[in-house]
Amino acid sequence: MLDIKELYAELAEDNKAILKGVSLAIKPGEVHAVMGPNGAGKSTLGYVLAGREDYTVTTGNVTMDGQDLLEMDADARARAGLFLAFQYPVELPGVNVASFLRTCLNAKRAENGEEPMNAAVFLKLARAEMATLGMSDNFLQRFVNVGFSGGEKKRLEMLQMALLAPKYAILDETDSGLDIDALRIVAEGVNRVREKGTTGFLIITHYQRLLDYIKPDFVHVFADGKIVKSGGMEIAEALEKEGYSGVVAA
Amino acid sequence: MTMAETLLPAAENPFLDNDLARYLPAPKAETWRMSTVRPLKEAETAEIDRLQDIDIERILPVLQGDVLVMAGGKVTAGMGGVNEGLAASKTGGYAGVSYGYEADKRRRGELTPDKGTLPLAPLGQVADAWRGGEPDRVRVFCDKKCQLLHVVHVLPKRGAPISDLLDIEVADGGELTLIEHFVGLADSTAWMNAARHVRVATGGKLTHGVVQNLPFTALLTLTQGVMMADSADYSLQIIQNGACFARVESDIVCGAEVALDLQAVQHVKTGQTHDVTTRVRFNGPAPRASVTQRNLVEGGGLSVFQGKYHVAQAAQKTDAYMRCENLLLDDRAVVNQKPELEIYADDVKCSHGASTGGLSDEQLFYLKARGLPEEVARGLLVEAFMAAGRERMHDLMKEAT
Amino acid sequence: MRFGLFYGKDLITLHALWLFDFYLCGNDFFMPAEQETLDQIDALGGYKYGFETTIESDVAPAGLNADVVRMISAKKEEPEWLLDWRLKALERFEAMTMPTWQKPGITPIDLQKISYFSAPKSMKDGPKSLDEVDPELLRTYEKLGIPLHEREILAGVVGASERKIAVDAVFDSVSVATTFREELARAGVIFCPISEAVKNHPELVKKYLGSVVPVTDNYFSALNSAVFTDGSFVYIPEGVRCPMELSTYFRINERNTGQFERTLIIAEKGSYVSYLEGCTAPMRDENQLHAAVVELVAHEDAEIKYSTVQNWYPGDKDGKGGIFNFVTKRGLCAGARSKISWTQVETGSAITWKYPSCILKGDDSVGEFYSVALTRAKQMADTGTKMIHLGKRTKSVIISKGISAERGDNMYRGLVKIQPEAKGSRNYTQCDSLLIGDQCGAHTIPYIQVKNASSTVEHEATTSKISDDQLFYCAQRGLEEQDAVAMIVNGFAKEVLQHLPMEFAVEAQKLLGISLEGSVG
Repeated sequence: MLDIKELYAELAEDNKAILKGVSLAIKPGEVHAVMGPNGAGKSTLGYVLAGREDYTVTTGNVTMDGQDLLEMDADARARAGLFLAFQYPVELPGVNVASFLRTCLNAKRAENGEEPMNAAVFLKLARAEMATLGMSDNFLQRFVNVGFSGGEKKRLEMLQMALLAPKYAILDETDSGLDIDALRIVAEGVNRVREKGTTGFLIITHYQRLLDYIKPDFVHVFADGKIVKSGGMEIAEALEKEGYSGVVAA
Repeated sequence: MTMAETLLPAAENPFLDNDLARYLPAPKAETWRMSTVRPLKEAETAEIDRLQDIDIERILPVLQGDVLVMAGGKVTAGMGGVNEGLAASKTGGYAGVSYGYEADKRRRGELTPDKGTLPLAPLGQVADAWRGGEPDRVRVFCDKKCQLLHVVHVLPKRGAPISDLLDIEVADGGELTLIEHFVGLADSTAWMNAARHVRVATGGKLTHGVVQNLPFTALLTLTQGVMMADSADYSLQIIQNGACFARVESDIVCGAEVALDLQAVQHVKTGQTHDVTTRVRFNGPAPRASVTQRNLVEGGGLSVFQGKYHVAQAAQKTDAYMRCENLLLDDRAVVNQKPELEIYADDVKCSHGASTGGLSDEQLFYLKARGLPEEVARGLLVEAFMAAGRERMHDLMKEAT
Repeated sequence: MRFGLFYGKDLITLHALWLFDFYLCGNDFFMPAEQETLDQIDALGGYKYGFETTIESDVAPAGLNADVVRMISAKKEEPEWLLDWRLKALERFEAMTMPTWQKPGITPIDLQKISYFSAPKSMKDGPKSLDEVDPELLRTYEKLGIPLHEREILAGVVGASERKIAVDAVFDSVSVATTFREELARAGVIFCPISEAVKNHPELVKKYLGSVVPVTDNYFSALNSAVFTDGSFVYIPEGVRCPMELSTYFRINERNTGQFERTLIIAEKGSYVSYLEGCTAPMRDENQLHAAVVELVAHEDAEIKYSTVQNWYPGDKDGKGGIFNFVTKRGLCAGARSKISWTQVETGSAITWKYPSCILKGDDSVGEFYSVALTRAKQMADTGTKMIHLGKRTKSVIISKGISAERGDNMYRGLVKIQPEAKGSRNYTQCDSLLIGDQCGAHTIPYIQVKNASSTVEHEATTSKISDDQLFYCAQRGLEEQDAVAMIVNGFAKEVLQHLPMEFAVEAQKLLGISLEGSVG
């Protein structure tokens, strides 16, 4: 279980409080959607969980399957099974996708005492996943996110998620910048991982449209640094009709 | 005071000697530069003409706005009344266009913001002696939104070197457009050795134009020391057409968050050397700078682009760009370029680019395929190349060419 | 098939395939060696090559004068003409002064305190074969990972044909052994220590020595001409594709010695050769001088590919000790359609001043310069190239990648010169700098001179850093910081590394990773 308790965090640069008491528990197999207006701190939640150093946790705690997440460095959290799909994936010029993916995968395997995956096995696995995400083979030779369209970047995030098979995955505005076809492919990617029932999801989104493709088990409304309302799909529908101000006020 | 009075006959001029060398830059300082000062060494040391015989107004460009005329480095009060109204009325909103040379305030080092380490020290002893007597040191001071000011520098027929001094200061809240025009009498073989001391304070904005239309036989060295305080805004726009040797050299020191924009366009023809050399030192965080130059070179012309960005460790978040494009029209044209970067801060965005080539065969063919004769097509492409260089310049600069 | 597959333009493709288990993965896939780099970083320490070999050496007394030059010449049993050449060089040298235009100024080197000749004692009579070489020396080379013995060096490649490299190892001042000589001889290739070439092929040496880098070209070339001790000589006859990579390893061992090697490579009409050099030196508190001269001559349709991995001892973190690497390298594309390609990875030396250059004399000739220079601690590198275009339609490419970390200072200094007669020529230059930390420096000084309208010259330069975003992104995928940095740096340098022959590319990637250890964070 990814268990977030009364989490407060601020921007390290100017001590501006952004998370103001977030509590949320995510079990493997569950899909939680966090919706909220721009600037509410949704993306910060993702960054704080993933261990970005720009933020300082002031109080609260987070455990992942019993491990104290906040004690761990970002890379250790990732190897322990936490995955963040970035809203704006970062470019790594000169580093090709295949080499990047295999390096990441083997870093995780090493942590679990497993042998590095050999190239052939890796390629087979990667290609199978790429096929389902509608990605052509030449992706492997391109540099990570360099010159990628918005849709391609998000697909690459989904490919990484599928290959790294995280225990908990945070999708930060993964729907932004996608056309409807790409959105469908991304959603299918998520749903395929979801079917295995071993990954818990935290889907951060501004719009309801992603939730048309990924049906969440729980919907949370996020405003001013915390969750102000929780429930099922009916909340998302209410948001669609009444807007954030209506739902938050109610 | 008339022009005649400002000029002393050679025999009575204590500054006149035949030792030009002492006005030339030290050879060591010159090794950095990419044009040779040989033409200066060979400049005629003959005494300066008597300007009173010359109808200056005949060669003055037609200009709108306030106009200050300096002939041979002296403010030409009494020359057809051009300057009297300006100096007296201050209608332009300048806190003062004052002129006159105050010997006790002659702080030579002031011309160079950071003496000692500069590669760009003004040529020789610029403020020290003027072969025609004491030069005027004109000071333009601006602390509010000012009207456009033109300063026209007239080069007499002979004389070398002729000092020409201008201090420009824009204080907080000041906004000034100052365009300098360099013109000369036909067949002038004189060398004008001009120095500028420019200061732009926090909150000040200066647009500074230089239009060089000297006769093909004249020589010009224009050396500037520029201090930009935090958040200052300075735009330097240079157009070079005439002179057989013309070097515009600026040493610009930038504080935090300044906006610097330097644009230069040169048309270099047979027998000409045009050089724009610029050194920019970023001393504070987050400055923005752009240096762009376009050179059209033909015949045996030599075009020089030399730029250097020095980014101090304190100048994190520098965003600086430098680009030079050269169009060579024949195989006798020469371009020398040296876009340098010297960077001591890690979080910066610095880039430079330079490209050199002839007219594109592809473009020429495209135009010819649309029915344009070769010559027309070439002219069109050349004009387009130059126009792109002037595109962001002040409207009056565009007209000046 | 064997050589057709391994050499020439196929090399790069194969390089990639080899690293990725060609037989398992299919042939349509390009995979670089980052993984191998990462795998081995942990296993390796700081400067891996800083051991000292205890061999009795025959060292000349310190000092520079005509007697020392005569002694070197006598030790080498040189003909009269060469001694005269050296003495003239010394005379010219004595009239010259140390250049001062380089970016990192140095305190003057006392040339009288350096010994100009050092030979391991056991070499005195020259080994007849490898069996006669001092086993201690051979162990040194083993530690350096040099395949001195004739054997396959690509052990472990499933089903791959053996790939051979002929090696000439220069230890202080003398060549120790040159391998594969017989096989090369069958192809007509001469690959031997230059001292031997002086004896056996005097007409060639006489013709080409100093023809590309004149004695008085610069202070260090004049010094080298007077006192050079050994180096490699390569001659590829007309139409011959050298059947293997040729390689020289340089090592400075003796204290207070300078290494002044001289390399001369001649590629006759239509021939091809790929030459590699690697350099190491033990850790010393004093600065040691390395002032080599390398001359390349490519005739009509010939191609010379020259690769360097330079890992001389860089000094300690405070800048104490380390090699002064002041090298003159120049190639002459003498014939039409000839090509000279320099690739260098510079991670070592306290100070490097080096500008491998090309004189593009033949019409349609091509010059290339690919460089990665990494400086950390207090290292300084002032390196770049000169491309002199003389022939028609000559082409040059310059790709320079500078990486500065800690208090390192990195300078690209280059010249592109297009003469009026070099009509229709082209140059493309790209200089990129990567800064790691805010105490280092990155500088670019490109000189560009174009003298005709039918040529095109393009120059681009950028500066970047490893961003926190990139590090966080990699961390979020489970990579430790130093692995992420090694990966990003190798990515930055990729355009250059892919021009290296395969084993050098692997070594270079490891070197970049190792060199940056502990310099981030």
